[in-house]
Amino acid sequence: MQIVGQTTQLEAWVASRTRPFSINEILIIEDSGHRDPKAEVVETRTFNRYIPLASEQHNLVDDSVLRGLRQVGFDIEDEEIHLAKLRLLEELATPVRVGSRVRVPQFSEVESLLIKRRPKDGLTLGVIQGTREVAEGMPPDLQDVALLFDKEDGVQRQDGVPFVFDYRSMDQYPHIGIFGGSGSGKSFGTRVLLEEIMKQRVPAVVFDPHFEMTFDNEFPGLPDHYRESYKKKFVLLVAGTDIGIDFVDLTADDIVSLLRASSGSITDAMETAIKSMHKKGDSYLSYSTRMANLAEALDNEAEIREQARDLAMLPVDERERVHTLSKLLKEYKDKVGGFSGTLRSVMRRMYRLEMEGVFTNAGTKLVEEAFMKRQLVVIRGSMYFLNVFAFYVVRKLYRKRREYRDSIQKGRPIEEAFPPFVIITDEAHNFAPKGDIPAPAKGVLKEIAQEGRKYGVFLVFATQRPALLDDTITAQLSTKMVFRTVRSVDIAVIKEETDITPEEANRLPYLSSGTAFISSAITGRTTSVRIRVSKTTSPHFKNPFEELEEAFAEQDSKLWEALEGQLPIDAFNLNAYLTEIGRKVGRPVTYDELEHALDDFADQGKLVREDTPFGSRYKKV
Amino acid sequence: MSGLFTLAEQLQGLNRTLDTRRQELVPRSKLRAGLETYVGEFRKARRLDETATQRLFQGRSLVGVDGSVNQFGGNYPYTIQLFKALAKSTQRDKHNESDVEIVSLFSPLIGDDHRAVRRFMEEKREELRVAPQEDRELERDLAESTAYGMLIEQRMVEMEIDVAMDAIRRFDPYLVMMDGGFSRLKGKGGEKWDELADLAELKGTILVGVIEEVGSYRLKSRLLPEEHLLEGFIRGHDREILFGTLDEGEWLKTSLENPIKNDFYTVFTRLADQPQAGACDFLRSQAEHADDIIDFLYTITPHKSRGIPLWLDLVDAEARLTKKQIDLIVRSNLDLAHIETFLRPQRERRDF
Repeated sequence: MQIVGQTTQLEAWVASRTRPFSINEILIIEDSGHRDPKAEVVETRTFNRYIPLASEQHNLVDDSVLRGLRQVGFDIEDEEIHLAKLRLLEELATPVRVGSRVRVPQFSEVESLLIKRRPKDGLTLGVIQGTREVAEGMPPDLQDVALLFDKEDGVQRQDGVPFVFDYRSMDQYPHIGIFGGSGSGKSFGTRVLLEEIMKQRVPAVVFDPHFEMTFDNEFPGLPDHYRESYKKKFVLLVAGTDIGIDFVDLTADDIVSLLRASSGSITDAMETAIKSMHKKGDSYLSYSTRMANLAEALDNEAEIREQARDLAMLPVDERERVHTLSKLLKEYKDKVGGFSGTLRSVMRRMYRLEMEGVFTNAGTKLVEEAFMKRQLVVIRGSMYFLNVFAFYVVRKLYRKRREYRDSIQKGRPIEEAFPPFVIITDEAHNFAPKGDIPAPAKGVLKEIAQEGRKYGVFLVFATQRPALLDDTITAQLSTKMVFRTVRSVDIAVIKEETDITPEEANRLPYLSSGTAFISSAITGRTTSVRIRVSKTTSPHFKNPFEELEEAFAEQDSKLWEALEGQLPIDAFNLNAYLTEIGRKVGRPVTYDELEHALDDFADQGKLVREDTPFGSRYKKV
Repeated sequence: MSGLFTLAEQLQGLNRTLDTRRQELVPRSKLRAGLETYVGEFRKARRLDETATQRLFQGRSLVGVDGSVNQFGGNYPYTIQLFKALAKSTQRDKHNESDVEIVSLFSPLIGDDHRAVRRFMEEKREELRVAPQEDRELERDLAESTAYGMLIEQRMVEMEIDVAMDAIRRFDPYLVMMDGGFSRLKGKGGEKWDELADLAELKGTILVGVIEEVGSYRLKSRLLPEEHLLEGFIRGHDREILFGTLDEGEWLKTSLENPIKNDFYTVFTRLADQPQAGACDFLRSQAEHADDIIDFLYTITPHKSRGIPLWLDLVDAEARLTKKQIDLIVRSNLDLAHIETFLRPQRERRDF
């Protein structure tokens, strides 16, 4: 391997006749004047000068000609020349010396570059691409820690240096973004990241709109030493059942954003009404009763005012009611605009949330308990539901943590201890959309993006559409895992927000599934990583159509077993078999179904259909 | 622009003349019959399969030899000649080498080379007589320039022969393909050529000269007894007579008893789709191998090509120095002052 052609202080071309180059591999240029700089392969080419592109002048050579030459010892395929464009890891003062030898480094020479943490202290996310040869001199603790997966060949051995994310440096460089289109391996990557977070026992909360983040299904085909159980390391909570919003915690503004998020939009009048009627410490009951009463009062305003003039005239049990209503009228009428319809609309919206179980006094107790056990909490619910919840849950947990930290810092009496934690969500652009689009959790998420590291609260934001994610948050993501991305607007955002090179950006639309560029302020450069095989799989890992086939095959085989014992079966007398077959199958079987099944089996060749004077008769083959 | 129209008219006139002449051509079958009578028999080459090739070569290698000479600079004596001769084997020797390469530089600007030109001029005084010039110095330059041209040719041939011999010693090939006919090698190479031929015979290496474009009148003279066969040919060059006369893969196996050339055994071939015929020279002592060798050459010649065995084409490509390479190497090793003073031709300074 040798440096050829023109070089600059940052780039050079290297050529080899025998060794193809791998993208992203690190090589050492033996240029002693520059103290043997290291460089990364950013572009590779191979050409055969004897096999030019077919064109009018150059016809591709006949195969028989090549066979003839191969017999006398010449193989045209050996005449390949491999070229690679190198980018130096550090800029030099003067260009690289042309003609310098280039070699593959020893592991020890690049160790500090590739490994920032050992696997036991970091998140082992995958294998650094282009490090196969370098990995040969690796110490044992780096070996066999990141197996790979290939659709064709299944689980593969680790063929390179592991990429270990130094999560402990997140106090300096907080937050992670995971970008990639569907099928890019983004979910897979997120899963691996979560597994590692669980392994390090960092408390975390995951919002799971896709119902895919559970960790009790083991990935099939893993070797024994690699298997790991996460069953005790995570809890699954259902939004609206296991956790709810404790209404007492809400401010009037919160209620506004909740209702806005849950119903799409609310009018200004509704907003005013909500705010003016809310009192600190209101429970759902007290708040909604007040509102209902006021609505009632507005509907019967004249009557109530009349009655209120002389309360003593009323029966005792009525007095209380009229007194309350007239007080409400006095206090709120002007503020809410005097129209009961506004209040009823607000109430309808609140009632719907209440019915869905949003307002329970379960609060976030289960989450907090899990955090104390250093577990990962998965919160499940529909996208819209989670949006409503995220705001509440995140804010509550963040406050708890902040108060705890502040109390230590400011020497106040120590609050109840509360651990640092990570917030993870897919479809992050829904939680914190760009621009003026409102979302209840956006405010608190932005706050965490900017200040979270002080308190040890970190975000992991996954999205298909980085271009739609709030700018402030995008700018605060110190580490970005970028999977295959096709949309040019998204690529533009990625280019702007990472140190990805133009060559790498060009590769983005073609990255294979499960390969990501990890651009991190922690490593100070972009690394191409093949994400390791996850140790667990999502519950809907199975292709739905395969599932369909399998389910029906099972049904068929049960029926067949039940039928087989009864053969031969006469078609005119099908009713006679129904009970017995139904008993064996374990469910009632109808005449039609049996008739249909017999014909199907006959078509498949499992049975022979014979015509008799009494109709068809089905026999064994 | 009018000048171009005049030229176009004249070209059309030439075209008409050629048309008329060619209408007199005898039918192809008659011409073929004549060639069969007076020259030799038509053979059909076959493409060898793997085992046939192996049987032929017995594990030995194939070598292709070619050379290139390039000029840098202007008129004599302000010029540099760069030579490269290459013999390339399909198999590697024990040092894992597959090439024998010689390069050299030749320029009247170098004292020794200039003396060599003068010496050569003395030897060939008769051949190099030039028309007397007013300026005696110029007259001498002109003679030297001609001598120089001949010397270049001779050097090139000597180098090609050298690499071929070296390759035979190192790779012990079954077959050595030379680019071009043997006449040139023998004519310019003299004793060196005899040495090569002896070595090849001794080592059992077959030498073949692959001629891309036949350039003689051998066939015409053979066909003279039936002069009508030659009607319609403009000059009756071999090239003209053989154009389209052979089918693809066909070759004209000339008679051994009545050879086309005195020193060698020459056969005419059409190895590819192109209707243009080529030729192959063999040593007379190796003539009996012609059938096998032509079959093999046909095997390694791409159907859609100019009719040169692929291996020789590859060697040719590698032996050639490109204009860019020459420029680069000269400019990075000679001072600009020298280049400008001696070597840069005025025409390079043209703006248009």
